[in-house]
Amino acid sequence: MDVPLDIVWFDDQRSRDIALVGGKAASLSRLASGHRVPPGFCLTTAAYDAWSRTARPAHRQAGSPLPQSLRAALRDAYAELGRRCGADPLRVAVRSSAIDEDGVDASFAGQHETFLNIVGVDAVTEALIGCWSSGRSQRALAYREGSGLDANGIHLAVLVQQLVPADAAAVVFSADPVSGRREEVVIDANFGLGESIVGGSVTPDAYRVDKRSGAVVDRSIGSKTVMHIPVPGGTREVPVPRPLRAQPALTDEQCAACAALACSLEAEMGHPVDVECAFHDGQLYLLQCRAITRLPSDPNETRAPDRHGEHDGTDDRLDARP
Amino acid sequence: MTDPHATPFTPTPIPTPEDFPVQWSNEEDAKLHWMRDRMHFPETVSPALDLFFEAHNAGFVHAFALYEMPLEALVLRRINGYAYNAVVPRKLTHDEMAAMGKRAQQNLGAAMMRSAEHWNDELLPEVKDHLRFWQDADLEGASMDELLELAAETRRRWTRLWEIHFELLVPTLLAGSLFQETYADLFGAERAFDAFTLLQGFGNKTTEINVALWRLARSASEDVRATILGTDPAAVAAVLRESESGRRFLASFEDYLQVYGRRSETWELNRPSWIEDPTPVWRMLREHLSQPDADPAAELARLADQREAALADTRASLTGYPQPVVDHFEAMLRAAQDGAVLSEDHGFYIDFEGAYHVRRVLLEFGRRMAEAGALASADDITMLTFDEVLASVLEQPFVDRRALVEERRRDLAHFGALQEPEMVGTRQPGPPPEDPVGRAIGRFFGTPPQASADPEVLNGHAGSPGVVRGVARVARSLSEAQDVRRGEILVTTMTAPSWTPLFGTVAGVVTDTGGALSHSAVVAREYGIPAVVGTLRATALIRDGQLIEIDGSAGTVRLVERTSDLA
Repeated sequence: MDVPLDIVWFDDQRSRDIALVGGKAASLSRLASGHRVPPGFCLTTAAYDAWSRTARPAHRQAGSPLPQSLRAALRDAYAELGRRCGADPLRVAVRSSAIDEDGVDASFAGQHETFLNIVGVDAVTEALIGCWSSGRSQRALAYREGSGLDANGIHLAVLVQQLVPADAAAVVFSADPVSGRREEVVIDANFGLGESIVGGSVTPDAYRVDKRSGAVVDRSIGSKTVMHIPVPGGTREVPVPRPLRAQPALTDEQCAACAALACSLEAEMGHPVDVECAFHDGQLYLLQCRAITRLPSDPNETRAPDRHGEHDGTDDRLDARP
Repeated sequence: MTDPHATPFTPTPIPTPEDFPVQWSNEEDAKLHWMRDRMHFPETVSPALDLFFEAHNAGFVHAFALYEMPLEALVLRRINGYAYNAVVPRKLTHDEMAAMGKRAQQNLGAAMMRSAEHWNDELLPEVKDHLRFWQDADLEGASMDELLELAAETRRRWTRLWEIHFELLVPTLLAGSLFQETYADLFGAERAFDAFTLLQGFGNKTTEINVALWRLARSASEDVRATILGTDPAAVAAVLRESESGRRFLASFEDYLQVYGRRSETWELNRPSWIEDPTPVWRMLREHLSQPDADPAAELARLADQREAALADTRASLTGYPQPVVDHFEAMLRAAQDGAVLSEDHGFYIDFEGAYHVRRVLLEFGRRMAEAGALASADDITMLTFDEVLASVLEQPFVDRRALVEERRRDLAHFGALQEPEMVGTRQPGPPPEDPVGRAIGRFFGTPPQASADPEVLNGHAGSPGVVRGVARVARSLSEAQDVRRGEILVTTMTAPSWTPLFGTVAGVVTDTGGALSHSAVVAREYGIPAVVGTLRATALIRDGQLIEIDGSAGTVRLVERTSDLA
């Protein structure tokens, strides 16, 4: 590489290079080639290195300003992302996507910062520095030391992605994770962002969709007492209005769209998948996709347990969550 | 199969006081749980009101069936001269009940979204047809056969008016309740009251009555003004008739009555309409004349401005919320705003003008019976049930009902003097079901308030926001309430829609009955005065003339002057 590449877009082939953008951003970029993933770009490990070199050691923890050229590049990219999304002001998620010097994905859950619902280039810059600095936080360093990893070997890429202000979010399984049945898609859904479903703070709606016909064959409306909404600088858990709790979060058409997405990802990956997605303004966005872990064998088949039944899902996890 | 949700419950007869023996007209009635309806009928009612109850009960049966509600009827009956109501559940299993409840919510949900169109395009034109039938009828000129024919039509049309009444009102009541829940959940219980700000300031028939009367007051010349202010309201008309300017004003006054005077004090049939006795209208005119700057149209515009400002704030607070939630809020808001207007407008036509025409028909029978000596006076007709009236005039000569009327009068006086029980009949399981419809019913009729730990504080429900201190004027009827002065706080069992004009005079309202969606609360908010509703005991605990402070947002009444300090 002649010129250090500071910023790459998801639609750029180079954004699939784990060494350049980290595992999270690379997998997301792969998904973006065939599905509607919220658009975004990555601040590469090269950009991190440039920042890291200019930052005085004492500032690496506290947060050091960006080099002038990088500052300009970020401003242009944020403006371009706004144009691509047709959003003004543009809300983004700013997330760490780390790798080790040996190129292994190092996006340790919870060890590096994520900033949701960031608006404006100044706030994005601040969030970026926050992400980079978090790689050097006492907590992250202690974790790395405990894991036998080199504390100085970290390279932090950061991804900046449109935050989809979800009208409703869903977690979709292309097979029943409990019974192992393959002919139905199982959907959990709630109003707002997906956090309430993933985090288990509500009993979401549960739908079953027949894979062949796309028809909703079973529907159980969850209590859905709360939902997550974006608020300046993050998200907030708020109550779902009582009269709305009894209403389904997804229409039958939306259920069918979720099922179709899960089926197509299952076909691409060659095994049952667990998908996070969200609806906004009538569009279905793919946020994350990974193999279903510990899926029981299909009760309709007599053969031995599915090979993917013991799959831990780590290496082909395709994370597109903003 | 046993029903796992069924709670073991044995219906038990409710003991009645010895001085209140109940004779059931049918066995089914004895099995129902009858609650005293103080909200609509704080006092004893006349036998003529059975005709209203018949229409009312049929109206509920119609609406419950139309919306597939798990209730069969909400029945009003006259028991020893008092109005009691009872809910008649459908005989269904728990599962059937739950399934029907869901259908009802869907049906009502769909109906509430189009209640304004439904009323304006379908129901109101039909209502006006019925009213026109009575307006066009020549009561005095009718032969007895024609009058009997008219009586049968009256019965049919009045029942139809009440079917329309509940077809309209059941979904709009639910809309108000759901909107309140939606608002409280979105913005917190502490801001729950602001929900009503978003419903205020729309003109309706009730505010129209008041604005028109204020305009009439403004049109009075100086000498007319002096006469109205300085003369007993009952005698004003006679004095005005003596001058040219007075006669001119009287002509405008008559025009006003022709448009707005087809109403009386309550749902009762034994009270004169404004057309028959306009004294209450003269009294309100006097109020307007003594407050020339209290322009109700300007007040309405102020409330509308306040509403729009609050709505802009509310919409801004919804930034970032999922679109389905925003859509739900907007839909509930529209339904509740329409409901707020319709909850007043329907009464003008159905509750008031309908009853006005029925009373006229009754009085015509009364006039003929009195002329024939079968009654002591035409007014006594309300001491008979409608069936008794018809049976009387089918005979020739008419059946003499004078002795019966006297007996009825004695009975009413006897029962009116004692404390009637809160409930009679057979105890039924539990409160209304915990679902949106059950909660809506609670917000209309009110639920028991929390007991107050402070003896100087009486708890009720928040009815209309604001804090005000003033002298309590305890009134159990509209005639008692006529003495209320500007700045005083009206303390009453309930307020019927006919009390509405008083809200322009008083500084606040406290009621024994009702919830945040009851008439008193709705109108208090419309007039921008604080109200505490559903206290159960305000008229019993607060003394006439006592200084009190009410907090309409907290739903509390503070006795500033201790009861023990009063002579």
